[in-house]
Amino acid sequence: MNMYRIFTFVLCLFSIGLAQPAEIDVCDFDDSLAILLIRSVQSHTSHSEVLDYVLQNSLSVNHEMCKDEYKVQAISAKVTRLFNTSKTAKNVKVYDIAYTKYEHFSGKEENGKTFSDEDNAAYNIVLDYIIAKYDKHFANVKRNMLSEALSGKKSIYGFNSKLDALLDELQTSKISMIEGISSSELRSQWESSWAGLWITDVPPLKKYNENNYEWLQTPSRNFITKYPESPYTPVLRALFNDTLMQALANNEEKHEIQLYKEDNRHLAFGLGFLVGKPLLGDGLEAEKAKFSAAIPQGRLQILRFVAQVQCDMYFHDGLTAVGLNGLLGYNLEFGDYGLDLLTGIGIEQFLEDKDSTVYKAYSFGLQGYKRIFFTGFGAIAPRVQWTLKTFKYKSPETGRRRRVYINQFYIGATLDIVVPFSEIH
Amino acid sequence: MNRLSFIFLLILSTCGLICHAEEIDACVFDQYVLGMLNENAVSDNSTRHLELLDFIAEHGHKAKAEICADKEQREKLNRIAYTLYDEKKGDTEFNNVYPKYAFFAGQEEDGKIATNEDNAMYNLLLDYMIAKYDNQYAFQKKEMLKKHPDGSKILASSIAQKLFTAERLMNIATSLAKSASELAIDLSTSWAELWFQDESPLGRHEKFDYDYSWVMNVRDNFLQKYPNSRYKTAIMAIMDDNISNQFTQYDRDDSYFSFGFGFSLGKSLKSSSLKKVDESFTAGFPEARLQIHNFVIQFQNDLFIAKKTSSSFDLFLGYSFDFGKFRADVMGGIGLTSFCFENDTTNNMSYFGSAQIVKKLPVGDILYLSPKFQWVVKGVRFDDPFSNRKRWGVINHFLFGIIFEAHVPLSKLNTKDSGKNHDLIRRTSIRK
Repeated sequence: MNMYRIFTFVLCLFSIGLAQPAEIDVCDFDDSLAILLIRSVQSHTSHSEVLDYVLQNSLSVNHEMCKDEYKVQAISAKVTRLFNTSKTAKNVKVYDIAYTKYEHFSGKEENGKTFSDEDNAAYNIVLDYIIAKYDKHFANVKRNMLSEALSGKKSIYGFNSKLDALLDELQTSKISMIEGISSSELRSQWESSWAGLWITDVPPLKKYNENNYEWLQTPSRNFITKYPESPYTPVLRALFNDTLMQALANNEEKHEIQLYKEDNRHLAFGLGFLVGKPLLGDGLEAEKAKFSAAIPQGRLQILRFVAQVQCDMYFHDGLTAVGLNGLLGYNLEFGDYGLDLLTGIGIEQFLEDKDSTVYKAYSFGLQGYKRIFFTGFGAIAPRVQWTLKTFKYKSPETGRRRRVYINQFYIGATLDIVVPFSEIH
Repeated sequence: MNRLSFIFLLILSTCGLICHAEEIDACVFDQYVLGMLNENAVSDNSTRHLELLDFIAEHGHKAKAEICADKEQREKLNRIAYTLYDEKKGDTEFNNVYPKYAFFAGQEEDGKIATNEDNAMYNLLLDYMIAKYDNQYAFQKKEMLKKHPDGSKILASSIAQKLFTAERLMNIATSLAKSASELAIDLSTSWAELWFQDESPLGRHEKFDYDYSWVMNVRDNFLQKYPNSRYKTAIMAIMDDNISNQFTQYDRDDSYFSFGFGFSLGKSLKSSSLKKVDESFTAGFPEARLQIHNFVIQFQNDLFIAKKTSSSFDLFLGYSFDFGKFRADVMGGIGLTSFCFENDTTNNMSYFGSAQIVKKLPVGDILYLSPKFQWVVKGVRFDDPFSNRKRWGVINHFLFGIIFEAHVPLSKLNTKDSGKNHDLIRRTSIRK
């Protein structure tokens, strides 16, 4: 009997020795981890299985790139089930939005064990890790999303906060409806529980964007700082070792993420008026103008090209001069603001008491406006305009022709009809 | 007895409390559902159909069958709905609309295989949600489903022509390695048949009376085909029996703006006091009509065309009733009438009432060329130049004419701008 016991003991020792031949192959480790994660993410259970697996096995693996082509392909196919993809628009070629299917189980109970924030954070870090390791495009997309959100600028992603880059709004609102709490409350719960690790203590943006894996290391680093005594700390140190991170960075997807570009091309037609003050240059002492008005002003814009017709009238005691100008130019637009650079020719007519003189004039103009839309297509566009007009003027006193200049400063408004190009054909 | 009623009351109030607490806000719910529909449509190989459907099946019964009341959120929902369908010029005066129906029956999503029933439910939900937030869509779809294509009653050809654009059907067929006609025949035995059941001449009339009855009809077909469906309670909550009336009421309240010009010709009947006024025929020219909500302002210049033309400038205020293709304006107003005689003219104040019936004939999206009939009864305090005496005269105008008008729901105007021709963009890319 005793012999039998000893024999069993020896056999046990032997089998343990066999089962832990110092190292598990990294491909197999990653593959099993992916499978466990898929099962857990799809059923929203078995979180402890994943965590136990990582705690028990990851330290006996040399975490490097998996070199077996076939296994890499198999794991890459598997990890696509661990995140949702989307596009900013249908015509974008490959997905430019990726949301990891993070699990939220802190405070919940499974097999008698209550999970802590620490468990939840470690789980989600490992989740991101396994996807990013086997999906270059995911890593690139996620880097782009997070850095856009961290930069705080308005982007096509439409993020309102840093968390928007991390948490899928649809998933959040679904869970908030099921649990009956507001989604903002839910988000702040998750942020303090685990999601904060992704977006606090982030390296400066320049460093963050240096490669596609800096974002991946950030939560792991923050985790280690926050929970230095945690059993997951050595695990994360092993998973995120410098050699592997360097290898991933060397092998990263280089090209920039293509996002939806809004088609801003349009055709605009405007009709309006301007009032202002002309400054008559030297040589025009004989003429008088208190103020001037440009009525009407017609403007046509096709893509970036602008054609404008404008009738300037100078008033002193009644009408003293009339100018008719045709201007062509180039337009620059910044959202609802726009700037026209214009040049053109026209005629300038001075009305004397009993006579009038007409000159051919050249003009240059600069015009800025803001469109205030009141319906989809219609807008009121307040504008300021500066035009410089030059012509050869025959002085009534000396009878000599010489070049003179008029500076016109105008403010006014037009009624614009703006039609997107996509609506026309 | 007293105690019994007390207990009954207690049970009722507790249930009321619980049921109320369980309810999901309409804005939140619809934002999620339309968000998911948009998300699935925008990405080529989305696997989130069942995610939405599972939620609907388990929690859909908590939804409230109403339109999101918050204006800003509702506008966003209008814009998302606008991305979910295509619009093409149809054979009729109305455009055809084609929602981006999903095909995922038989595919695996998150470890589950989607069934035909799931696919049918998803597409029903898609149609319903677009119609809920885009009344124009609901109306156009009704018009489209109403008529048999080429007089054909073959189900597969109805499906091919009314549910899909030719290109879309072709694309889907190619991706499934089928021909377009094979696909249409396949569809006629799966989810698509629900859109066309019971097309008996008797059933059809009622089904197409209201803009939303066609959706309710698809709903009923679904429940008939899948009587034990896991979606049953959710469907009864989301699309309850009353909702289509609610939508119709909502559309009536929807603010719109209409502006038109026109003219009319006719005859007038005058009371004896006015018999000296010459008239060979009467013209209303020009006429301008402005309508905001149901309120109408109309300017009109009535002319008695004769050797000496008399004119009357009228200003009407009124209320407009909408009956689908017809509209009736009831108006009252005041004006100035001047009568011209051989060697004298008189100016008289006049008071009038008018009823006007318009048949709306759309030409394009927002323009209408509408024939109208107008009856004006005008009371004039006539300053008779012959007897030099003031007395009342009554004129009846009967006028036929045409109004050329632009008629735009205000919400639609804003949607069109951001939707940019139904470009399929993600909800986050929609400009605010």
